[in-house]
Amino acid sequence: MVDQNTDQTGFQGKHETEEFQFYFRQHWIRLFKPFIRMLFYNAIIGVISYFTLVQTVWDVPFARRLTFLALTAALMVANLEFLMAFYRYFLYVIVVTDRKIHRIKKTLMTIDDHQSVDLWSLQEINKSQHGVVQNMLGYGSISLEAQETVLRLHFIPNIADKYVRLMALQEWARGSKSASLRFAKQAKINEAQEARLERIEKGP
Amino acid sequence: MEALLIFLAVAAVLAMEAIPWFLFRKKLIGIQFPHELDTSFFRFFTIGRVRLLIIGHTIFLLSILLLGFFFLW
Repeated sequence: MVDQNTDQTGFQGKHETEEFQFYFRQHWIRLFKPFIRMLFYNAIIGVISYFTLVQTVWDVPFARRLTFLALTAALMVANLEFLMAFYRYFLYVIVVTDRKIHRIKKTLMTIDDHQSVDLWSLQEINKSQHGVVQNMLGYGSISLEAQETVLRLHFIPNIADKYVRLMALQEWARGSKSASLRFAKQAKINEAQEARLERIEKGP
Repeated sequence: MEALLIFLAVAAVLAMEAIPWFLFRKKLIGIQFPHELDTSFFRFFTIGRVRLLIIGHTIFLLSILLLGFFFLW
């Protein structure tokens, strides 16, 4: 879900110093199965309705009405199921900043997860595309392995491009982290030297 | 009796469409991004367009329901 009226790239859980890079949702194939299932159920309900309510002559009107109500309820449930899958699709988003990868996963009622991993702490970034469909449509899974956690991202669209971008960002984050560590170490050394000089100047 | 049944069915459809929509809008806060940053096919689905789709879907379901009531009941 995108908003045409917003020009901000803030999101929940973002640190002030983080700089937004890109975001993505899962591949459209994730919605293909629920969509086909909904079409199938709708077609089945339509066919059953035609044969039971239009073609058949009922002796008991109550039974006919009950059948109509049951078929209507089934139609509603089939549509509601797809609607839920549609909403769920938009509530799962991966956000990549210059420091972290955030996986935000929500459902309408039950789940509100936010998992993030530091880019500089990643030991491995593995890409996997198994099967003809995944290779043809260019989606797959990426697992991000840090020291104690593994973040698995599935159904990533345009995975080759995402993988390259993540690798580049990881390198950049590592370089930036080691530079800041070097800077902090140097600052400590300078501080110690200054303190030492002050002590020498003061004398015994 | 029939009028009450129709009323209940229409109310059920409206609730079925409205409640998830409002929950969705509530949950979406904080994970919305500018339109031009989305490179996928789903950039089509802006909030305004999804709202229109939901309204269209509601009208579609209500039409089926009412046509069923009037012609097959």
